[in-house]
Amino acid sequence: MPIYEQAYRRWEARGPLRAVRFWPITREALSLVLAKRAFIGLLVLVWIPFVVRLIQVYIVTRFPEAGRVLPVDGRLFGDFLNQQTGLTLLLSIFGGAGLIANDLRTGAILVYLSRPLTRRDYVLGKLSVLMALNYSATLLPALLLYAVSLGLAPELFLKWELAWIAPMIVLHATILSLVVSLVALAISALSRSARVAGLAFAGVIVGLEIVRGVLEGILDRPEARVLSLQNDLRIIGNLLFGVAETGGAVPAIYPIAVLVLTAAGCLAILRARVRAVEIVR
Amino acid sequence: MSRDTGRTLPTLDGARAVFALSFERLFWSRRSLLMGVLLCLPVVFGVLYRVVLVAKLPTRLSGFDLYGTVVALYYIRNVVPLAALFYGTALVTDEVEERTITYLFTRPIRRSSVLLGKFAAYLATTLCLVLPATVVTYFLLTTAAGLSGATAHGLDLVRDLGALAMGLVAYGAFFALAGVTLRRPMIPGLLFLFVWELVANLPGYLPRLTITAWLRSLVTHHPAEEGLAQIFAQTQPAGLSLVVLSLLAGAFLALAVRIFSEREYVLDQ
Repeated sequence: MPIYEQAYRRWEARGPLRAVRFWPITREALSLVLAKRAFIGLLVLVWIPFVVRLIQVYIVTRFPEAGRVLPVDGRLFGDFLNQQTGLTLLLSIFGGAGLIANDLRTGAILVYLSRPLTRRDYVLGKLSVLMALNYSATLLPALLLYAVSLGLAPELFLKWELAWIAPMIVLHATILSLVVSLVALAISALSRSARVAGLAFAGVIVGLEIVRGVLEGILDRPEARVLSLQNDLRIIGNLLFGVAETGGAVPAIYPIAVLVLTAAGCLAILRARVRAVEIVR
Repeated sequence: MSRDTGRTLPTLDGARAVFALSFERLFWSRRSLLMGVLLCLPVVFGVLYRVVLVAKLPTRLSGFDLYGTVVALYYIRNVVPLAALFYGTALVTDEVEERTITYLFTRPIRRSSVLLGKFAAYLATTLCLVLPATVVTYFLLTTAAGLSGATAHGLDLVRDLGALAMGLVAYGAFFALAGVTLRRPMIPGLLFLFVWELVANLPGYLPRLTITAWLRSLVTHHPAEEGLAQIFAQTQPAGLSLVVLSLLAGAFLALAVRIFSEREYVLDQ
């Protein structure tokens, strides 16, 4: 029978149980969100523009002359995704405001990080929840709209020169969902109340849009547009889908730089706030 | 003779006690800091205008025009309703979330005193943030060419301050009602502000079904706009707007007090 020395023994942690360690966090959080009836109502609201666009495509296939008033080409998908930006904000507030804030309030974050999970797993798990919600408002309806359009109007869409539409939908939906999700998650990490985090997120997005509107109105310069995240995403969408900018174009590098800096700032906030220790002053 | 601590306080006395407690908590909070930043942004713009922009802006835009744009588009249209949503929905929800509402209910004060005291604290906090910021912005923007610019439009400033206060009362009462009625008032509140209130830009009688249409009629500034607002913009008589907003605020607040007084709050375990 071995006899151990009764001194300090280094704890040897068990190795990770699975390769994709963030998945249980995502799965559980998603099941909580999807169990709420209000979320189903919100999802119905988010899919209304999809139905409207579908009717638009149908009308143009039946009455081609309507295409002069309601043009149906690659720009349709850019307009559609730009329109969905506002709705992703609502989804992010609903599903994302409490993702980290509630864990900070209840101390659950300490429990998470005391498991064989890294900080990266935790953030990735929470981010995937928001990405899934935002994809349900952007990527999913846009790709479905494209597929239905291909079926309804192959003479309009089944061309090699329009083969770029699907990859651009994936790219734009990913940029849009990622930026919105990161901002929502970072703001959630800054508060202990889901409601305050949600209102702060709405305040930041709407506040920047108001400042943009007022400054653009006063200064009459297109560069003022980059102040608003919503507008930056819209400019990127317009660039990807070839939609003409009204009121003067902004160099593409400006909105790209703003979005990259915003994403980096959000990651820095998450790095600072998601910790397995709590300093109580 | 000491007061009988078991007897319920009169409504106003109770409301005063709740106000004293809530105002301090509300004013010196991190959320007021965040809202303060949003509400004081025009002051930053005013400083920027005086230091950099005054020489570069087209001469067709006077300092008073800029001030009018800030009041009409920034405060009245967006930030005042957002501040009301931020604070108004939290009046009761905060106490429920933190599970401290039980302590308020066990005190010898009426439930109506609790809501009225908290509403007064919200109003005092937001007025303390909005009104000084508006006055400072006014002076920064209108005195670039001397003090005469500020004195010429003094009455407009007073009118704007009144309109902002009325906006905080009306929207605050509406969102207080939403806060006591709904479990999660935030998303419906945002939908109300950024979807329903757009009805104010439509023709006919429809704009009268919004709060913003009446509130916009209280100010004299009507900056150039785009889209439907430019085509169908309409204003109501200021006197009528004041009466309608007062009645709406009174009705919303009375309904909120009634619901709050009768509702059972079951706290999550």
